[in-house]
Amino acid sequence: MELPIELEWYLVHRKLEPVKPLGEGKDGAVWRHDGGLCAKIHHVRDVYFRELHCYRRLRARRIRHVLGLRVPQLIDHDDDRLIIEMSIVTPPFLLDFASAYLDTPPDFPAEVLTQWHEELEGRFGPRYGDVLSVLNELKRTAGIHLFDVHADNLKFER
Amino acid sequence: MPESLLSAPATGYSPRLQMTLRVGGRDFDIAESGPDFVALRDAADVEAAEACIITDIDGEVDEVMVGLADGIRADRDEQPIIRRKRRA
Repeated sequence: MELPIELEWYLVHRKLEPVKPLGEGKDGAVWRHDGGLCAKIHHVRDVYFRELHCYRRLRARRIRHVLGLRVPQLIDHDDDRLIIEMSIVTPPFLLDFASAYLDTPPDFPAEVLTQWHEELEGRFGPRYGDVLSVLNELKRTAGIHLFDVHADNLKFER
Repeated sequence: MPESLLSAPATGYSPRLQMTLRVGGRDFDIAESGPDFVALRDAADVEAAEACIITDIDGEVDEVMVGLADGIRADRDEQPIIRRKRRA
């Protein structure tokens, strides 16, 4: 995986060196650096700010884990290069809030929500109830409404 | 409105990640790594010492030397560390 040039610029200016990619998906790429943290660069400005606002909320409310799942801490960010620098967490964890809604989610039609529940149950099987508990706790404590969860951003097992 | 609130099952890159703090022959599972701290899952009291953070990403391992100037305390979530240098 190639290091994005904007991320290289960000790291160089902080005298940090990239070590290894930690992930790549539809919203961006995550690289670990030699300062013991990771930096996520986003493809889309709105998505970047959506995720940044969530991490700011978690930090403001001092939320470090949700029902035993560790969440990363916001360390630094760059609005021009759409980069969020955060701590690295290992499973069990909850991360990636790029598609989350803060405080007020859209008014999804009932059939969309029904389909979401069905797909979620299919995706997590016997842990479906646990997933709902985590998402409800995240909503209650942080006001973060997260719908897009999968095995890579919500992990129960180490 | 979206067709689904769930994105397609992961098609990107998401490696298996494991981090361990090794000090005095004991290994502690790292839950979180920050700039100047680590959070351990099952911390136990340890005196101030030199230690090593071992990171395993999909079987590729590297080590970073750290100082535990205040040791490890079982009743503390974040254990302060001083990062030294990385060993490939």
